[in-house]
Amino acid sequence: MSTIIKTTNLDYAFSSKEQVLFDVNLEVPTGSIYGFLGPNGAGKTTTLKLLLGLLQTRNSNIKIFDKGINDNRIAILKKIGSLIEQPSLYHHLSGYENLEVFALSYNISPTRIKEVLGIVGLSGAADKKVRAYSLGMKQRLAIALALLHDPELLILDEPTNGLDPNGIIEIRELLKHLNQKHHKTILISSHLLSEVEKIASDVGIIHNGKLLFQGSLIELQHLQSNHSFIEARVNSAQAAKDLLATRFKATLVGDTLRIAFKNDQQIAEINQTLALGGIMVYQLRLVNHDLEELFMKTIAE
Amino acid sequence: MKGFCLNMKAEFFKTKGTAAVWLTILGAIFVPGINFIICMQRPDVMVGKLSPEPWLMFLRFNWKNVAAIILPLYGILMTSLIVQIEYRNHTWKQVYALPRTFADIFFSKVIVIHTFLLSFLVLFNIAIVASGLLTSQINPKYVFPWNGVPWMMMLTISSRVYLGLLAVMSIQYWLSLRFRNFAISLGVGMGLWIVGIVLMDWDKIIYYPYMYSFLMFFTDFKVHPETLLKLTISSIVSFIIFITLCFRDICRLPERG
Repeated sequence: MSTIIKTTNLDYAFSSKEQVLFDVNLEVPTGSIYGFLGPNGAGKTTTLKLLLGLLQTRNSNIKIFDKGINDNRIAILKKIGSLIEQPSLYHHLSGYENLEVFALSYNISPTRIKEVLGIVGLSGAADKKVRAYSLGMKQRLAIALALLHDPELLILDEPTNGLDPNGIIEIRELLKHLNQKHHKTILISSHLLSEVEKIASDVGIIHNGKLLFQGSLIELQHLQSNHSFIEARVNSAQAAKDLLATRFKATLVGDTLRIAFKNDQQIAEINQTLALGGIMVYQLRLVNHDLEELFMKTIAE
Repeated sequence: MKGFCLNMKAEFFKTKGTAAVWLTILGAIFVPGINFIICMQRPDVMVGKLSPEPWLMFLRFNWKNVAAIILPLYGILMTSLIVQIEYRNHTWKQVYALPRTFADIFFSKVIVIHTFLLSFLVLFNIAIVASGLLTSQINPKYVFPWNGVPWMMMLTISSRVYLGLLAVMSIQYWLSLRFRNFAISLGVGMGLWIVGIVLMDWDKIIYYPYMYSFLMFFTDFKVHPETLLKLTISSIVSFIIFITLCFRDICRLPERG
């Protein structure tokens, strides 16, 4: 599959003492929804800013549409729609006027403004001043702005930040729709694995400026399953450990037992084995891994 | 070129309904409005003061405060306000993510700022004429004939003062782009202007850009014709130097937006 974005050994430092990216080799397949994951401060926004030319870098290791960003900035930006950090909107203008400002720069007809307002579901609030918009409406208008010139590639930095669950679902559905019906390649950054896995086809995980994982969502799920645990509170943790020893990897943590599993079927098996072995099970609790924990373990291994 | 014109239009659009528009309108009519009230309230003093050349005297009466105080402060404030539209709304990154050259982004704002300044001058001159005509309509003791309006004199003074403001506007533009905090560009600008007022008697004041507009109005060029040439050259040269340095500096910033 061809790649729309490719970075090769991308480094970046804000100063000689503050390097924030180390050898990042990002490869975003054309037509994908690429989830760019990492905890806060991992280097996601810095990477996205470099892709958009918002940060200057001497090394020209960034290729978008097979062209270097430093030498082809204008040609590349014509085909990219972006939302970096919080929505960039003129609060003293209405939603329609905001799009009008950018439509002038893209030399786009007013018909397209109405079209994108329709796509993001803001036709009814087009004449309202942006300062009166809710955060969700601002996010949607910012996405409309990114879509205005019908770009091939969307770069969205945490577009669901600060949204309520309904807003998150709306944006998620919108992105799926844009990818499937309008064939947009979408690079979306997030610190929530649970959020990205619902829409992404490909995933890259960055931590402390290093790309620790890159691959399809299926590969990520496999990786994650190797690091999933349940915690069992039982009447005799040692006896339970011995009972499970042949089939499961179990460790004692205080008076609870931590058992590795790969799928839901195995959870049922663990429960059944303990019950049939005469162990009183008081509680079975899924131990969720946040990204940092998961990848700290990966690094350690 | 078409792209640049469209981007300029977009830049003007952003100022819609902002304080920059109101500052220009109110700033331009403020002094002529005050002087109209003074003329109405104190004809006993003003009729004598404005004769025998009422238009010329009225013009000087209006211009002295504007050239010395209002315009330099307007220039400082206006430049910051225009740049602040982007900072306040966190839109610089979106502007730099547009397929626009850095020169396009930089100079389209310069043109917006100077258009506002020129609009101020035009409005101010209109307000002077309107104020004079209205004064003579209400109180016939004042004689401001329509056919006596010194258009040429108004154009000359306005052009000279505008020329005198070029360098200040480019320095202020640089400061406003460099510092996100509105108070820094405003504070430094006002500080430099006050320093100029304090140093007014300095023999090298002609090389101090913040006083050019003041000198352009208050210097008697009939007595010191050589000063006009010096001031004009200093204004243009310092404008070119500062705007070039500013552009180079902004292009080289490691982070945009």
